[in-house]
Amino acid sequence: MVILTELLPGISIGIELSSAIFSLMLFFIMKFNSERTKEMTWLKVFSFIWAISAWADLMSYLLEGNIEARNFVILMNLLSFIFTALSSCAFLRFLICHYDTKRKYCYPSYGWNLFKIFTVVVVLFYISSVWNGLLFSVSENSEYVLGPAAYVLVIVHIPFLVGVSYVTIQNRKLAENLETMVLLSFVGIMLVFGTFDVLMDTAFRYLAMSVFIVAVYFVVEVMQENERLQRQEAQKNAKVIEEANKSKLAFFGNISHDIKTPLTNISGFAALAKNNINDSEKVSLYLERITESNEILISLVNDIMEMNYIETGAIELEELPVNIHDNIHFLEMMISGDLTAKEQELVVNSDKLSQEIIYTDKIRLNQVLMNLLDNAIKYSENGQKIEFSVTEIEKPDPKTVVYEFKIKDNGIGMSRLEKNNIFNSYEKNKNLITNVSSGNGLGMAITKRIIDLMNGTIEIESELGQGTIVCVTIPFRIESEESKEKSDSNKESGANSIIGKKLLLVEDNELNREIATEMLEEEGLIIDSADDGDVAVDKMKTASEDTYDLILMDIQMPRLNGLDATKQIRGLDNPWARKIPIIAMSANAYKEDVEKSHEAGMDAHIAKPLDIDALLDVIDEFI
Amino acid sequence: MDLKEVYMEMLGDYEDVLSRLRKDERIEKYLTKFKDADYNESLLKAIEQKDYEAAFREAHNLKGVCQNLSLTKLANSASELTDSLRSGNIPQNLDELVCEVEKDYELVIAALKKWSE
Repeated sequence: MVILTELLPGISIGIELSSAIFSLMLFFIMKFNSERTKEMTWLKVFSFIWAISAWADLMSYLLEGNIEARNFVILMNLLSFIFTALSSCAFLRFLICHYDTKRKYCYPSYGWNLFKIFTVVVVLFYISSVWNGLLFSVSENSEYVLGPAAYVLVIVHIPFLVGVSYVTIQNRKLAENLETMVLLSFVGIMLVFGTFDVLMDTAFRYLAMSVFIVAVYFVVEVMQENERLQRQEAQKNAKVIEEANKSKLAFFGNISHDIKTPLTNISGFAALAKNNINDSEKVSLYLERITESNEILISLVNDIMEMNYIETGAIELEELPVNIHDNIHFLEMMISGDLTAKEQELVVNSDKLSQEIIYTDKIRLNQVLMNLLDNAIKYSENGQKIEFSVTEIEKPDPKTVVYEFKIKDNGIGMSRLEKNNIFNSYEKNKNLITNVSSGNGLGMAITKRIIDLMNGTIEIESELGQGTIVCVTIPFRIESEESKEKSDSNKESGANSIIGKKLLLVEDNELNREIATEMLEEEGLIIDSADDGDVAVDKMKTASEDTYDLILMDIQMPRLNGLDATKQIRGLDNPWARKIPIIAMSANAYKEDVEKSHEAGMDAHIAKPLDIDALLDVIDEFI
Repeated sequence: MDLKEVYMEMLGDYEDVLSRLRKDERIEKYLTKFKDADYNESLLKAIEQKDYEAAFREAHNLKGVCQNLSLTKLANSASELTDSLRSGNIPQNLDELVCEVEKDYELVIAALKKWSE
């Protein structure tokens, strides 16, 4: 301690001197920096304030022990503390501007982290100031002497400052309420002041005041920063909405135009047909034109509806096992008519696929591929060749395979502009009408949305007059080797379905129990029932491994409810009682209830009233 | 009077029940059982005896059956009564809630009786 007491003034003055010189250097560097950005201005302000604080601190050190200058020393100390507080605010301003100019919207997390680090630095600075107080106080002779009350200062000061900074920064929402924060600071400062009044002299009162200033500044900074972020968010949202509205208006404009053309045709040809009612040949021609226009209209309206479904998220993919080779064959058949009509040849290559069975929404997948194949046929000349290849590009994990579908034609191709606009629906796609009349409509936009839904990608390479290559990559779920073996062995024993499986139905409501039993038995399941949790637990106690394959458990039951019954069953000695799938049934399908049922050891949750198909799906999953 | 009309009169949802129970015969069978079971009586008895735990169970039972048979209106009023009794406290508007259930129950039973005749 003695060594420390002797060493500390030397160390301190070293730090003070280098800090003062460095701050002055920074100030001059900044002064000659002609950049007139907000960011630079704040850095200048920061360096200026920091210089004042550092020099004031140095002064107070140099004049230490000079009785006549005692008041000056105290003033310098005060200046130093206040300006350090101000410099931290200026530095924060600089940080904010810095990230603004870099247009980093990640400011809230990244910037706040920096701010937090900076706060810690400032706090450490104050701790070091208090460190001085811990060992010295200013005596009547203006000399630094050891003071016991400094310990109290540390005890009160550090947790208070750290606490305020931490609460302010961590709970920005709390800081939105300025009064709360100021009050918090005020209470803290009163505590500090109270301690000082009893134990300390004037110099430390000034110190406490500067702490208060820092605290309030932090609050104000946080408030302003919050407001700024909110404003930024609001502006951004407004912009997005405006853009969306604009493009939707443009879309309506285009679509109205596209609808109007066939409608005008229909009424025109209808009028012509009426005028030539006796000329059956002409009438039949006009009717044909009307039918054509009508078909265009219908396909357009279908596309709009489909687009709307996709964009509003109303479409859900239904994943079912699909044999990829059968499916490719099916596609070949579907387009064979068009191919023959244009005397084109389709070369299919899909030999190197490791997985025959993939899980996907067959209808949607075929919608995508049909659309692409149709386009290839449509935009190729008669007699040209179209290549369609399916290759496996990767297998990121045992349950997934990524296939690439490549469709290559030597047709008319696309210009760069056409290529860029091909997936747009709401943007001003001036070519829509020409696309519609050729039957394309919103086809590519829809294709893109479906591929997005499937987590896939689509890329188009095309050159005018040279042809087009479309590459679609889609990840598919597959049966892993493990589960394949399992299902194979199931098949061998002839029990791959749920028929003959034994269920314990635990339900106190007699009528509902009867209905569920009847319907599940119709599906080929063998049902045993229990009318409350107690009975179910008793049944499980005496059951052997193959008595039941699954338990369906109501949650709300008299005596022993479903959750407690499950806990008891899971706690039984039989190893199978711990493993048997237990499915919860309850009318409250809130997240909380589902969580509770999981906590109790249940495997799944199904809502009441029971939908037998949904129930069978769940049962199927667990058996 | 076909089932659809009966459901309209009971303020129920015929499409919903058909989608779940699948067959008219099954719906008819369980409607008849519901009519004969007299769920209301045990509920009212529990309320009369101020046995609110039993009342909760009965109301919950009634709610479960009504939801399963898609007797929407009655299921809703029974559900409200169930929720208000769930906490174990006696709700202030208990009489009102019970009255509502009774009214909806009578409506269903009247329609069912008319249909069976």
